[in-house]
Amino acid sequence: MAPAPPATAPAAPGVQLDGLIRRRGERLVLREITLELPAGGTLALLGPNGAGKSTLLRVLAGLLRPSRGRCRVLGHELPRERHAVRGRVGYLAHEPMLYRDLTVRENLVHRARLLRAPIGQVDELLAATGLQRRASFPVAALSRGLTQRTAAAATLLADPELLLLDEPLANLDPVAAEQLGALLDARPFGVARTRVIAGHDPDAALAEADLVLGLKDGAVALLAAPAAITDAEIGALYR
Amino acid sequence: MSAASAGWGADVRTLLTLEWRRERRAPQVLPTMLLFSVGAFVLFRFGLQDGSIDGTLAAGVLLVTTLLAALLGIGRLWSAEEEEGGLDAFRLTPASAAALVAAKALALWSFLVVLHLVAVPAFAFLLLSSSLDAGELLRFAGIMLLLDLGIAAAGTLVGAIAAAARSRELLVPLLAVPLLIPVIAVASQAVSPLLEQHGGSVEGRWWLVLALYDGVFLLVGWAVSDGIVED
Amino acid sequence: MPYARRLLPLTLATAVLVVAWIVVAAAVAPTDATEGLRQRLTYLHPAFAILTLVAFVAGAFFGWRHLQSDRPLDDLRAYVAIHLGQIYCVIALLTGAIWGKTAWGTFWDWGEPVLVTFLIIFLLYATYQPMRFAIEDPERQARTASVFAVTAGVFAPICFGVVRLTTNLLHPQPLNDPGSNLPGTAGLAFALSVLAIGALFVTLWHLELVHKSTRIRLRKLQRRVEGEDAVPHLARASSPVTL
Repeated sequence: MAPAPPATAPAAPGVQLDGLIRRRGERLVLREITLELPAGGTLALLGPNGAGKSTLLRVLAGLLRPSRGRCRVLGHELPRERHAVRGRVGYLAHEPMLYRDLTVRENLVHRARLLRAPIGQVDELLAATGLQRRASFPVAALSRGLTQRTAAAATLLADPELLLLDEPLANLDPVAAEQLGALLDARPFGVARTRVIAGHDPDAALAEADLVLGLKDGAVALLAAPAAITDAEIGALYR
Repeated sequence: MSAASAGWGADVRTLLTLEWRRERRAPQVLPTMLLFSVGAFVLFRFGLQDGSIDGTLAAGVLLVTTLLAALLGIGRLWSAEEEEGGLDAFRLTPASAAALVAAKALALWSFLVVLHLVAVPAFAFLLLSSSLDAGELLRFAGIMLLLDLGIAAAGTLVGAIAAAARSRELLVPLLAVPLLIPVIAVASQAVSPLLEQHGGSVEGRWWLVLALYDGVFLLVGWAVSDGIVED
Repeated sequence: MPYARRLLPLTLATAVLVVAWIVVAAAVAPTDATEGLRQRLTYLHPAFAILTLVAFVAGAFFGWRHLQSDRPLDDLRAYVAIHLGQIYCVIALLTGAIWGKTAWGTFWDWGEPVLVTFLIIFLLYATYQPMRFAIEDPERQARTASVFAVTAGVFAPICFGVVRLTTNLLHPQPLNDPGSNLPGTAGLAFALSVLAIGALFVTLWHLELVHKSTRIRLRKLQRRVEGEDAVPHLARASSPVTL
């Protein structure tokens, strides 16, 4: 399902990168990434393991600082104005970022409080992710798929304007994947949200993205609209 | 301004509730500190052969045991944030870093107070040969509260520093012991007259020094909280 | 960016001060009638002790600046200040023990607050490099090290006050009355010792700063010339690796 075009076009692009460089010590993890993603658009991140996809997501989430270059998220310069985007960005990481000894509901309520989201939203999201029956299970007792759904529910608290998804449908059975995919796709209230999705499934990425970024060794290997991308280019990315 | 400070207080409450809820669900810190303390008292009973102590020796045994037990709590204080991604999740929210540090310090303080509620009677039963009257008990409790706050304030910083490291269990005692020597020294000076056979009083300056130590480390924790919580 | 060209004037000034200090302390100042040769340790030991504290407080200052600015250079400044402070601390402890042996007949006295404080502070700062080395992510290492630098830098003066309160006073108080019962030349020698050892500290600090940052910049240039992957990455280090 393609995201609906924004009803009222906001002035600021969702994500704007200009020569973004990220180093980890002496190692270059992201090399001069430049792109612009309009608000409400979907960016698919492709690339082999270790290409820098997760690092890029963490930079966009404001969890890592750019070493050089410009990085604007939701119209705010990172890292200087990172406090302005806190609570407006949902980041679904590889690790679930949940307290294992607490129940599903306790985790979500705790996160909702810190995000200043209405507590009623917890029940809505529990229903939407089909977790109602497991709400009082400790996270440690959940299967990987259910843990992923809980993490997704936590990501969607407070209606983030920008969703950063790191392989969101990994570990899920087809039915759950479809259900969660729909949830992470449409925005229930009005404007479609901006999304950046990292994944290993080129077909799915091409189907739902407005823009595809292929990373290889931290550098841009491919940046185009999905219609303009050939199978050969995708193949070259992973070779 | 009032809305922001109300948010701050609410955040601290939320985070402190989380600490206690996690401790209730999977008791780790409190039972460990408690069993260690009682074990250490029994050990001292045999190590000191006779084992009936009072005055400075009693103060030393109690406070050093407290310090060593606190090391266990300090080591676990930030581990969930590291291992379960709690810190990343926190950083995505608008809550302030100072609220997290304050909640951690309050959590450690409350753990230590609960520890003392059980460990001090055990200490009196197993080792102490003198007895305290009501007034002395009150002053003793006051000193212990201030001592625990100092350990909690400094321990929160140590725990946060060590949590970033791979070998955090090794770093905690290395960092915490020198930082806590002064507060243990002062508390020992303060409580040893109370533990004498004939009783005594606490010199006024020890109250002041303990409060100063607590205040300074709380201030440092507040000032560097951004440095702890940001990457 | 720290540059080497400031090193020459710094070194010359330090050399002049050090020579003046040695001449005055060894030859000009008279040998004390009662204390004898031992009294000349006054021109060595207290200055190192004072500069140790200055170094650690400077480490806290630069650590604080690093937490504010996030510039790796500030972390490097704090690192070098603390690193030199550790060396000065060892010297202060050793000369203090020698002083104690000659004055009180014992190398170590637990009743002596300044000595005990220095031991506590030394024990604390001795964990600085192991702590840095244990943190793999360089940015995280830098920030955590700054948290440590600020905490320990605030702790050091407090520790002094507290230990002094809890122990009886034995140690002469060089800061309160430097050479009060000594002739004028002795006061001069004491002042010169602090100046000379302080200048030595600044020069060494600048030298190591230049040395470390030059090495980092050299590797950077090498990568730019030979390509990003031509230069192998440094393994884990306890000092800053980027600027």
